[in-house]
Amino acid sequence: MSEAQPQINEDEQLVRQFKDERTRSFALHLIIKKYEKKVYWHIRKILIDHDDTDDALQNTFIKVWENLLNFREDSKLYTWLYRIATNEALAILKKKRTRFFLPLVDVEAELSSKIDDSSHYTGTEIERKLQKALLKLPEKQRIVFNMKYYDDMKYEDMSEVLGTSVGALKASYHHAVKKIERFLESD
Amino acid sequence: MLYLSNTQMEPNDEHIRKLTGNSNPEENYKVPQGYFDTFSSTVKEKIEARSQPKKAPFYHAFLRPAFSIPVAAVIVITAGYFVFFSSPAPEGAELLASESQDTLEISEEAIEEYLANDIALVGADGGLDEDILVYALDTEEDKVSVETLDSKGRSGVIKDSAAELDAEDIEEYLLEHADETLFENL
Repeated sequence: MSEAQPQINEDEQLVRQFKDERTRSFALHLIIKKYEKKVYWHIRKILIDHDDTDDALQNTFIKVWENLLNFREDSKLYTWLYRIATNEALAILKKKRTRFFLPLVDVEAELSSKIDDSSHYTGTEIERKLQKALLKLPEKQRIVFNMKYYDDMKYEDMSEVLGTSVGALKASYHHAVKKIERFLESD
Repeated sequence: MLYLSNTQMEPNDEHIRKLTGNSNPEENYKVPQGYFDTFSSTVKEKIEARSQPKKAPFYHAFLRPAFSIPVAAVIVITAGYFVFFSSPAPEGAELLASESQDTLEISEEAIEEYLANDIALVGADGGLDEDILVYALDTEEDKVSVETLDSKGRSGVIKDSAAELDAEDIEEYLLEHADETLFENL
Protein backbone atom coordinates (compact mmCIF):
# COMPACT_ATOMS: atom_id res chain seq x y z
CA MET A 1 0.00 0.00 0.00
CA SER A 2 2.81 2.40 0.84
CA GLU A 3 4.63 1.93 -2.49
CA ALA A 4 4.22 5.62 -3.24
CA GLN A 5 7.12 6.57 -0.96
CA PRO A 6 10.30 5.95 -2.96
CA GLN A 7 13.82 6.03 -1.59
CA ILE A 8 14.91 9.65 -1.72
CA ASN A 9 18.54 8.76 -2.36
CA GLU A 10 17.61 6.91 -5.47
CA ASP A 11 15.69 9.91 -6.77
CA GLU A 12 18.57 12.22 -6.02
CA GLN A 13 20.81 9.93 -8.01
CA LEU A 14 18.36 9.99 -10.93
CA VAL A 15 18.22 13.78 -10.89
CA ARG A 16 22.01 13.94 -10.87
CA GLN A 17 22.18 11.57 -13.82
CA PHE A 18 19.64 13.67 -15.64
CA LYS A 19 21.66 16.84 -15.14
CA ASP A 20 24.64 15.20 -16.79
CA GLU A 21 24.11 15.60 -20.53
CA ARG A 22 25.77 12.26 -21.33
CA THR A 23 23.30 10.27 -19.18
CA ARG A 24 20.23 12.49 -19.49
CA SER A 25 18.29 10.34 -21.90
CA PHE A 26 18.97 7.16 -19.91
CA ALA A 27 18.00 8.91 -16.66
CA LEU A 28 14.67 9.88 -18.16
CA HIS A 29 14.10 6.28 -19.17
CA LEU A 30 14.77 5.18 -15.59
CA ILE A 31 12.46 7.86 -14.17
CA ILE A 32 9.70 6.79 -16.53
CA LYS A 33 10.15 3.14 -15.69
CA LYS A 34 10.08 3.89 -11.98
CA TYR A 35 7.02 6.15 -11.95
CA GLU A 36 4.93 5.44 -15.02
CA LYS A 37 2.49 3.05 -13.34
CA LYS A 38 2.05 5.06 -10.14
CA VAL A 39 1.52 8.29 -12.03
CA TYR A 40 -0.71 6.56 -14.60
CA TRP A 41 -3.08 5.34 -11.86
CA HIS A 42 -3.04 8.69 -10.12
CA ILE A 43 -4.19 10.31 -13.37
CA ARG A 44 -6.55 7.52 -14.36
CA LYS A 45 -8.49 7.89 -11.11
CA ILE A 46 -9.03 11.54 -11.98
CA LEU A 47 -9.78 11.21 -15.70
CA ILE A 48 -11.30 7.67 -15.77
CA ASP A 49 -10.70 7.39 -19.55
CA HIS A 50 -7.52 5.64 -20.72
CA ASP A 51 -6.85 7.85 -23.77
CA ASP A 52 -7.10 11.03 -21.72
CA THR A 53 -4.85 9.46 -19.11
CA ASP A 54 -2.33 8.54 -21.80
CA ASP A 55 -2.25 12.15 -23.06
CA ALA A 56 -1.77 13.52 -19.56
CA LEU A 57 0.91 10.97 -18.71
CA GLN A 58 2.89 11.71 -21.88
CA ASN A 59 2.65 15.44 -21.21
CA THR A 60 3.83 14.86 -17.67
CA PHE A 61 7.05 13.14 -18.73
CA ILE A 62 7.64 15.60 -21.56
CA LYS A 63 7.48 18.35 -18.95
CA VAL A 64 9.86 16.39 -16.76
CA TRP A 65 12.30 16.32 -19.71
CA GLU A 66 11.90 20.03 -20.31
CA ASN A 67 12.07 21.20 -16.69
CA LEU A 68 14.06 18.75 -14.61
CA LEU A 69 17.26 20.72 -15.22
CA ASN A 70 15.71 23.57 -13.22
CA PHE A 71 14.45 21.22 -10.50
CA ARG A 72 15.35 22.42 -7.01
CA GLU A 73 16.71 19.56 -5.00
CA ASP A 74 15.13 20.78 -1.80
CA SER A 75 11.86 19.15 -2.91
CA LYS A 76 11.19 15.50 -3.69
CA LEU A 77 11.19 14.25 -7.24
CA TYR A 78 8.06 12.15 -6.79
CA THR A 79 5.98 14.95 -5.25
CA TRP A 80 7.14 17.23 -8.07
CA LEU A 81 6.11 14.55 -10.58
CA TYR A 82 2.70 14.08 -8.94
CA ARG A 83 2.22 17.82 -8.97
CA ILE A 84 2.84 18.00 -12.73
CA ALA A 85 0.61 14.98 -13.33
CA THR A 86 -2.24 16.45 -11.24
CA ASN A 87 -2.04 19.72 -13.13
CA GLU A 88 -2.04 17.92 -16.48
CA ALA A 89 -5.08 15.88 -15.49
CA LEU A 90 -6.96 18.94 -14.27
CA ALA A 91 -6.02 20.78 -17.48
CA ILE A 92 -7.58 17.99 -19.54
CA LEU A 93 -10.76 18.09 -17.46
CA LYS A 94 -10.91 21.86 -17.91
CA LYS A 95 -10.35 21.49 -21.65
CA LYS A 96 -13.21 19.00 -21.84
CA ARG A 97 -15.55 21.44 -20.15
CA THR A 98 -14.46 24.30 -22.38
CA ARG A 99 -14.70 22.20 -25.52
CA PHE A 100 -18.16 20.90 -24.92
CA PHE A 101 -19.46 24.03 -23.19
CA LEU A 102 -20.93 21.78 -20.56
CA PRO A 103 -21.30 22.54 -16.85
CA LEU A 104 -19.30 20.51 -14.34
CA VAL A 105 -22.09 18.04 -13.64
CA ASP A 106 -22.28 16.94 -17.28
CA VAL A 107 -18.58 16.07 -17.51
CA GLU A 108 -18.93 14.06 -14.32
CA ALA A 109 -21.95 12.33 -15.84
CA GLU A 110 -19.89 11.49 -18.92
CA LEU A 111 -17.15 10.01 -16.71
CA SER A 112 -19.78 8.15 -14.67
CA SER A 113 -21.13 6.55 -17.83
CA LYS A 114 -17.64 5.21 -18.56
CA ILE A 115 -17.65 3.46 -15.20
CA ASP A 116 -20.93 1.79 -16.21
CA ASP A 117 -19.33 0.72 -19.48
CA SER A 118 -17.87 -2.74 -18.98
CA SER A 119 -15.21 -2.09 -21.63
CA HIS A 120 -13.72 0.50 -19.27
CA TYR A 121 -14.44 -0.88 -15.82
CA THR A 122 -14.93 -4.42 -14.56
CA GLY A 123 -15.51 -3.92 -10.82
CA THR A 124 -18.38 -5.25 -8.71
CA GLU A 125 -21.53 -3.24 -8.15
CA ILE A 126 -20.32 -1.77 -4.83
CA GLU A 127 -16.94 -0.91 -6.34
CA ARG A 128 -18.71 0.80 -9.20
CA LYS A 129 -20.83 2.69 -6.71
CA LEU A 130 -17.72 3.89 -4.87
CA GLN A 131 -16.19 5.18 -8.12
CA LYS A 132 -19.40 7.02 -8.96
CA ALA A 133 -19.55 8.47 -5.43
CA LEU A 134 -16.03 9.83 -5.97
CA LEU A 135 -17.17 11.62 -9.12
CA LYS A 136 -19.70 13.51 -7.04
CA LEU A 137 -16.95 15.09 -4.94
CA PRO A 138 -15.33 18.40 -5.82
CA GLU A 139 -12.19 17.83 -7.93
CA LYS A 140 -9.63 18.61 -5.25
CA GLN A 141 -11.47 16.61 -2.60
CA ARG A 142 -11.55 13.66 -4.97
CA ILE A 143 -7.80 13.91 -5.56
CA VAL A 144 -7.16 14.11 -1.81
CA PHE A 145 -9.32 11.05 -1.25
CA ASN A 146 -7.54 9.07 -3.96
CA MET A 147 -4.06 9.94 -2.72
CA LYS A 148 -4.90 9.05 0.89
CA TYR A 149 -7.31 6.17 0.50
CA TYR A 150 -5.65 4.29 -2.36
CA ASP A 151 -1.99 5.45 -2.32
CA ASP A 152 -1.70 6.03 1.45
CA MET A 153 0.36 9.11 0.75
CA LYS A 154 1.57 11.14 3.74
CA TYR A 155 -0.29 14.39 4.31
CA GLU A 156 3.05 16.24 4.18
CA ASP A 157 3.71 14.91 0.69
CA MET A 158 0.15 15.63 -0.38
CA SER A 159 0.69 19.15 0.89
CA GLU A 160 3.68 19.52 -1.45
CA VAL A 161 1.74 18.10 -4.38
CA LEU A 162 -1.38 20.19 -3.92
CA GLY A 163 0.08 23.27 -2.29
CA THR A 164 -2.43 23.01 0.57
CA SER A 165 -1.83 22.87 4.32
CA VAL A 166 -1.87 19.53 6.11
CA GLY A 167 -4.80 20.61 8.29
CA ALA A 168 -6.87 21.57 5.27
CA LEU A 169 -6.06 18.26 3.61
CA LYS A 170 -7.17 16.28 6.66
CA ALA A 171 -10.41 18.23 6.79
CA SER A 172 -10.91 17.68 3.10
CA TYR A 173 -10.37 13.94 3.50
CA HIS A 174 -12.72 13.85 6.46
CA HIS A 175 -15.50 15.53 4.44
CA ALA A 176 -14.88 13.24 1.49
CA VAL A 177 -15.14 10.13 3.67
CA LYS A 178 -18.41 11.28 5.21
CA LYS A 179 -19.96 12.09 1.84
CA ILE A 180 -18.95 8.75 0.39
CA GLU A 181 -20.27 6.84 3.38
CA ARG A 182 -23.61 8.55 2.98
CA PHE A 183 -23.67 7.82 -0.74
CA LEU A 184 -22.76 4.16 -0.27
CA GLU A 185 -25.37 3.67 2.47
CA SER A 186 -28.09 5.22 0.33
CA ASP A 187 -29.92 2.93 -2.11
CA MET B 1 -14.24 24.80 6.96
CA LEU B 2 -13.12 22.10 9.39
CA TYR B 3 -9.34 22.03 9.97
CA LEU B 4 -7.67 19.10 11.72
CA SER B 5 -4.24 19.59 13.26
CA ASN B 6 -1.46 17.00 12.93
CA THR B 7 -2.06 15.83 16.50
CA GLN B 8 -5.78 15.25 15.98
CA MET B 9 -7.03 11.81 15.13
CA GLU B 10 -6.97 11.14 11.39
CA PRO B 11 -10.26 10.68 9.57
CA ASN B 12 -11.43 7.09 9.77
CA ASP B 13 -12.12 5.41 6.43
CA GLU B 14 -12.50 1.89 7.83
CA HIS B 15 -16.24 1.91 7.25
CA ILE B 16 -15.77 2.50 3.52
CA ARG B 17 -13.11 -0.22 3.34
CA LYS B 18 -15.49 -2.67 4.96
CA LEU B 19 -18.35 -1.69 2.67
CA THR B 20 -16.32 -1.96 -0.53
CA GLY B 21 -14.12 -4.90 0.39
CA ASN B 22 -11.03 -2.67 0.37
CA SER B 23 -10.83 -2.94 -3.39
CA ASN B 24 -8.42 -1.06 -5.60
CA PRO B 25 -9.67 0.43 -8.89
CA GLU B 26 -6.34 -0.47 -10.51
CA GLU B 27 -7.63 -4.01 -10.65
CA ASN B 28 -10.86 -2.96 -12.34
CA TYR B 29 -9.96 -0.27 -14.88
CA LYS B 30 -8.88 -1.73 -18.20
CA VAL B 31 -5.51 -0.81 -19.69
CA PRO B 32 -4.51 -1.81 -23.25
CA GLN B 33 -2.21 -4.79 -23.27
CA GLY B 34 1.49 -3.92 -23.47
CA TYR B 35 0.80 -0.23 -22.83
CA PHE B 36 3.57 0.14 -20.27
CA ASP B 37 6.04 -1.83 -22.42
CA THR B 38 6.03 0.84 -25.13
CA PHE B 39 5.23 3.94 -23.10
CA SER B 40 8.84 5.00 -22.50
CA SER B 41 9.72 4.82 -26.22
CA THR B 42 6.51 6.70 -27.10
CA VAL B 43 7.55 9.56 -24.82
CA LYS B 44 11.08 9.57 -26.26
CA GLU B 45 9.71 9.76 -29.80
CA LYS B 46 7.53 12.69 -28.84
CA ILE B 47 10.43 14.49 -27.19
CA GLU B 48 12.60 13.95 -30.28
CA ALA B 49 9.82 15.21 -32.55
CA ARG B 50 9.48 18.35 -30.45
CA SER B 51 13.22 19.01 -30.34
CA GLN B 52 13.57 18.89 -34.12
CA PRO B 53 12.94 22.19 -35.85
CA LYS B 54 9.52 22.27 -37.37
CA LYS B 55 9.56 21.77 -41.10
CA ALA B 56 8.28 24.95 -42.66
CA PRO B 57 5.63 24.66 -45.37
CA PHE B 58 7.08 24.62 -48.91
CA TYR B 59 5.84 28.13 -49.70
CA HIS B 60 7.94 29.63 -46.89
CA ALA B 61 11.01 29.39 -49.17
CA PHE B 62 9.32 31.79 -51.56
CA LEU B 63 8.66 34.30 -48.78
CA ARG B 64 12.35 34.89 -47.96
CA PRO B 65 13.45 38.36 -49.14
CA ALA B 66 16.46 36.98 -51.02
CA PHE B 67 14.06 35.03 -53.19
CA SER B 68 10.85 36.99 -53.06
CA ILE B 69 12.20 40.40 -54.13
CA PRO B 70 13.75 39.25 -57.46
CA VAL B 71 10.69 37.11 -58.16
CA ALA B 72 8.38 40.04 -57.49
CA ALA B 73 10.47 42.24 -59.80
CA VAL B 74 10.32 39.67 -62.62
CA ILE B 75 6.55 39.32 -62.18
CA VAL B 76 6.02 43.09 -62.30
CA ILE B 77 8.21 43.51 -65.40
CA THR B 78 6.53 40.60 -67.20
CA ALA B 79 3.07 41.87 -66.34
CA GLY B 80 4.01 45.37 -67.45
CA TYR B 81 5.35 44.03 -70.77
CA PHE B 82 2.10 42.19 -71.54
CA VAL B 83 -0.12 45.06 -70.44
CA PHE B 84 1.83 47.49 -72.62
CA PHE B 85 2.04 45.39 -75.77
CA SER B 86 -1.36 43.77 -75.63
CA SER B 87 -3.32 47.03 -75.10
CA PRO B 88 -5.42 48.12 -78.14
CA ALA B 89 -3.88 50.77 -80.46
CA PRO B 90 -5.22 54.33 -80.11
CA GLU B 91 -8.38 55.06 -82.10
CA GLY B 92 -7.60 55.93 -85.72
CA ALA B 93 -4.08 54.57 -85.53
CA GLU B 94 -5.01 51.63 -87.73
CA LEU B 95 -6.78 53.94 -90.17
CA LEU B 96 -3.75 56.17 -90.37
CA ALA B 97 -1.57 53.16 -90.86
CA SER B 98 -3.75 51.90 -93.76
CA GLU B 99 -3.95 55.37 -95.26
CA SER B 100 -0.21 55.75 -95.23
CA GLN B 101 -0.01 52.35 -96.87
CA ASP B 102 -2.49 53.50 -99.55
CA THR B 103 -0.49 56.70 -100.07
CA LEU B 104 2.60 54.70 -100.68
CA GLU B 105 0.80 52.64 -103.27
CA ILE B 106 -0.55 55.64 -105.26
CA SER B 107 1.56 56.21 -108.30
CA GLU B 108 2.74 59.66 -109.39
CA GLU B 109 0.62 59.38 -112.58
CA ALA B 110 -2.50 58.92 -110.55
CA ILE B 111 -1.71 61.96 -108.49
CA GLU B 112 -1.12 64.06 -111.60
CA GLU B 113 -4.38 62.87 -113.10
CA TYR B 114 -6.23 63.72 -109.91
CA LEU B 115 -4.78 67.19 -109.81
CA ALA B 116 -5.62 67.75 -113.49
CA ASN B 117 -9.29 66.81 -112.94
CA ASP B 118 -9.76 68.88 -109.77
CA ILE B 119 -7.64 71.84 -110.89
CA ALA B 120 -10.47 74.27 -110.11
CA LEU B 121 -9.86 73.75 -106.41
CA VAL B 122 -6.13 74.27 -106.75
CA GLY B 123 -4.53 77.66 -106.92
CA ALA B 124 -1.70 78.71 -109.14
CA ASP B 125 0.83 77.83 -106.49
CA GLY B 126 -0.58 74.32 -106.25
CA GLY B 127 -2.29 74.98 -102.87
CA LEU B 128 -6.01 75.22 -102.19
CA ASP B 129 -7.55 78.52 -103.17
CA GLU B 130 -9.16 80.02 -100.06
CA ASP B 131 -11.90 81.86 -102.01
CA ILE B 132 -12.95 78.67 -103.74
CA LEU B 133 -13.06 76.87 -100.43
CA VAL B 134 -15.20 79.58 -98.75
CA TYR B 135 -17.59 79.53 -101.73
CA ALA B 136 -17.88 75.83 -101.51
CA LEU B 137 -18.67 76.01 -97.82
CA ASP B 138 -21.32 78.67 -98.34
CA THR B 139 -23.41 76.55 -100.68
CA GLU B 140 -26.47 74.76 -99.31
CA GLU B 141 -25.07 71.45 -100.37
CA ASP B 142 -21.95 71.97 -98.30
CA LYS B 143 -23.83 72.90 -95.11
CA VAL B 144 -23.87 69.26 -94.28
CA SER B 145 -20.13 69.18 -94.80
CA VAL B 146 -19.79 72.15 -92.47
CA GLU B 147 -21.80 70.34 -89.82
CA THR B 148 -19.85 67.18 -90.29
CA LEU B 149 -16.57 68.93 -90.18
CA ASP B 150 -17.68 71.07 -87.26
CA SER B 151 -18.82 68.11 -85.24
CA LYS B 152 -15.40 66.60 -85.70
CA GLY B 153 -13.77 69.85 -84.64
CA ARG B 154 -11.68 70.37 -87.72
CA SER B 155 -10.07 73.59 -88.98
CA GLY B 156 -10.57 77.07 -87.56
CA VAL B 157 -12.07 78.39 -90.79
CA ILE B 158 -14.91 75.96 -90.52
CA LYS B 159 -15.42 76.72 -86.87
CA ASP B 160 -15.64 80.42 -87.66
CA SER B 161 -18.28 79.69 -90.28
CA ALA B 162 -20.24 77.69 -87.76
CA ALA B 163 -19.88 80.46 -85.20
CA GLU B 164 -21.63 82.85 -87.64
CA LEU B 165 -24.82 80.79 -87.40
CA ASP B 166 -27.26 82.24 -84.92
CA ALA B 167 -29.49 80.27 -82.58
CA GLU B 168 -32.53 80.59 -84.82
CA ASP B 169 -30.69 79.06 -87.77
CA ILE B 170 -29.57 76.13 -85.68
CA GLU B 171 -33.04 75.59 -84.24
CA GLU B 172 -34.63 75.80 -87.68
CA TYR B 173 -32.09 73.38 -89.07
CA LEU B 174 -32.61 70.91 -86.26
CA LEU B 175 -36.40 71.01 -86.71
CA GLU B 176 -36.04 70.39 -90.42
CA HIS B 177 -33.62 67.54 -89.97
CA ALA B 178 -34.98 66.15 -86.76
CA ASP B 179 -35.99 62.87 -88.35
CA GLU B 180 -32.65 62.43 -90.05
CA THR B 181 -30.76 63.23 -86.86
CA LEU B 182 -32.81 60.74 -84.91
CA PHE B 183 -32.29 58.18 -87.61
CA GLU B 184 -28.56 58.74 -87.62
CA ASN B 185 -28.37 58.56 -83.85
CA LEU B 186 -30.10 55.23 -83.93
